[in-house]
Parts: sequence; C-alpha cells; structure tokens
Amino acid sequence: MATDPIHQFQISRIVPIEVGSLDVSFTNSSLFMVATVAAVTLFLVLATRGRGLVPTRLQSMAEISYEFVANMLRDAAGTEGMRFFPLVFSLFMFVLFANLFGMFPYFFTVMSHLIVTFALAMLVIGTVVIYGFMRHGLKFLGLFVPHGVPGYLIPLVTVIEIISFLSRPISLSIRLFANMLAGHITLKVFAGFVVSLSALGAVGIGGAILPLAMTIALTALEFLVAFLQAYVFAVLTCMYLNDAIHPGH
Amino acid sequence: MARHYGAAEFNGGLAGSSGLRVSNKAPVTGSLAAGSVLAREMQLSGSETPPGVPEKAGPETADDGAERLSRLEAELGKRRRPEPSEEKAGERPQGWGFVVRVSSDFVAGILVGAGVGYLLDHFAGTGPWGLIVFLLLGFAAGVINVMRTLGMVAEPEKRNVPRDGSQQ
Repeated sequence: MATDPIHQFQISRIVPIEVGSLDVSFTNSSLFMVATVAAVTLFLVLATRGRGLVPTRLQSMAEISYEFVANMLRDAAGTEGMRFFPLVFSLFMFVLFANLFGMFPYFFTVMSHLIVTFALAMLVIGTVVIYGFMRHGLKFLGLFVPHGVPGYLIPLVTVIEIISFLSRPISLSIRLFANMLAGHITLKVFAGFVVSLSALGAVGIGGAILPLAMTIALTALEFLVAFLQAYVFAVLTCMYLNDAIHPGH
Repeated sequence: MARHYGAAEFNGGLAGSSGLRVSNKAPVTGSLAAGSVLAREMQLSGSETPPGVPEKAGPETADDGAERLSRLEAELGKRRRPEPSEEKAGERPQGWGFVVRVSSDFVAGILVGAGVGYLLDHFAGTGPWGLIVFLLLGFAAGVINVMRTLGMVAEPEKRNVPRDGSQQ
C-alpha cells in the first residue's frame, strides 16, 4: 500500500449522503476543497484587516496577489475585462491554494481529478459564451468566421474554429489535471524507491541516496508547477474572457 | 488567408520591462487617500518615494480629487498598454509544462472532433461518416490549437482587429 503511487488519489466518503440514487457524499476531496476555500478566505481577511497605508508583510502578500491577477487580466482583456476580476481572482487563488495544499504529505490533491478541473473549465467557458451572447448577440458568432477567407472555404474553416473553441475547456482541464497527477505520481514513485532500496541493507541505503536527491528536487519542481499551473489557468481564463469582450468583427 | 492567419506579435517581450514600471515621475501623487487601490498600485510597482509623503504636486494642486483620479487612470492606462500578454513570452522555456500544454491542446482538438462526430452519428444515424469527417476536422482544429499556442497563428480576435490599442 505504501508504494502504490495511485493510492493517494482515491476518493473516500467521509459523510455518506444519498439523494435519491445520486451520491452526493462529503468526500475527502470535498473536505480539501472546503479547507482550500477556508484558507484563502482566512488569508485574505486577515491580511486586509489592518488596511494600512504602509502594508504589513501579510498585507503586501495579499496586495501582490491582487496586483498580479489584476495586471494579468488587464493585459489580456483590457480595462473592460476588470469586471471579471472577482471570477479570475477566485479561480486563481482556489487553484493555487488547492495545489499548494496538495504538497503537504498525506493531503489530498483536489486538482488531480479531471472532473474538478473540467468543472472549473466549464465554468470559464460558460461565462465566456453567456457573456459573449449577452453583450454581442449573434455577432459573438463572428468569432468563428475569420475575415479574409475565400468564400468556399468559410464552412470548413468555421467548423474547424468551432471545434477549436469547444476543445478549449478540455485542453484547459487536461493540462491542469495532467500536471498535478503526473507530478504527484512521479514524486511518489521516487519516494517509493527510497523505501524499497533501503530495505536491502547497507548497499541499498547507499543507493537510496540517489532517489532521495531526486525526490527533493522533484518536490521543489512540484511547488513551481503548483504555482505555474494556477497561473496558466488564470491567464488562459483571461484570454478566453477577452474573446467574449472583443470577439472580432 | 495568409495575411489573417499571420504570425502573432512577438515584439512584446522587450517592451514589457519598460512598461511594467508605473514610474514615480507620473504627475499624480496627491491622491493616495482618495484612490487607495490605484494609488497603492503605483506605490507597489516602482515608486521609491515613501508612501504618504507627497511629492511636489506641481501646478495641479487646485484640481479636485475626482478629476485628478480620472487623469490618473488615463495616465496609468497609457503606461500599461504596451505590456505584452506575458503568456507567450513567459511560457516557452518551461520544458515539462510546455510539453503538457502543447499536447493537451492537440489532443483536445481530436477528442472534441471525435466526440462531435460520434454524437452526430448516434443521433442522426449517418453511419461512420460523421466520425470520419469530424475526426479529420478535429485533427485540423488540434493543429490550429497547437499553432496558436506556439504563436504561429494569430488568436481569433487579433486576426481581425489590428491591435493598435484603440479597442477601449
């Protein structure tokens, strides 16, 4: 069990709840989502409580994260995009904290399940589509018809563009999920080598140094990935929102 | 077609460093209290002046706060514009992340194409043809996705609108 690298992703029911035939149990995944939200809320509330003109360390951390997301959104979607700031900021903080939580030993990595990342991606794309139609009406469909394409190619290009658009939530979710899953499995496999090698006696313990070093390096890399994937998720959200705000002509 | 599917802008990477600094030379310092967030933004991103110490406010001391705020916003907007979307410049060197990124773009296109084709066949009963055709189209969409990720094909909105900053 200790060396099974997949075991860490198992969902277990903590409070079994059944609504009809639907299983809506409170699982360990739900528990860590709640913990993530609580941690983000606690961090931001505590950090902004002082509201000093000269920020404390905690407050400047909150301000940096605000600045970071605000600049990202403004670059990608312009000043108009700032109305989506709450969405993007929540997504970024949620993914970031969930990923960082996953770095604790014995903690569950929420983002290593495709359904979670897919739900987040669908939220983004749903926002893009609904807002795009609300604001531009049918002109939003112009996103799929590039200008300057010869007439006989328009149907083909349009279909390809639509498929390309539909593939966005999938690629968005696969990317986040695959990164978290692969990273944690690799980490676990190398850590497992340390255990099984050191069972071989003195030579084994000597040999176990190599995978141990690898595990340490991978842990550092995983912290980078945890941040980077939250960033990538937020950046792509911004770019897709930009499509909803400025869908070409 | 060639013109509109042309390469996306890549010159942005250099402009970034200069654009990032909302400098302390901006003529808008008195309004720290009024526009707290915007003012704090300036303070965070470059000004070496200790916060709360007003610099010389210049000839505009008599202006009311609102007007100065709007001017601040315009000024900030002007300075922010040249920043590139960091994504393309910043994303490239990450080995593993980049691999996952490109491959997920490609795979997603094919998956969606196959899915659409399968559903079409299932509901319209068009034999294997929907799957065949949409799998190929999905392949094309995957290639377009990858080329967009690599910056070889412009994003849909940039293709149509010349990005001269006039979109707001």
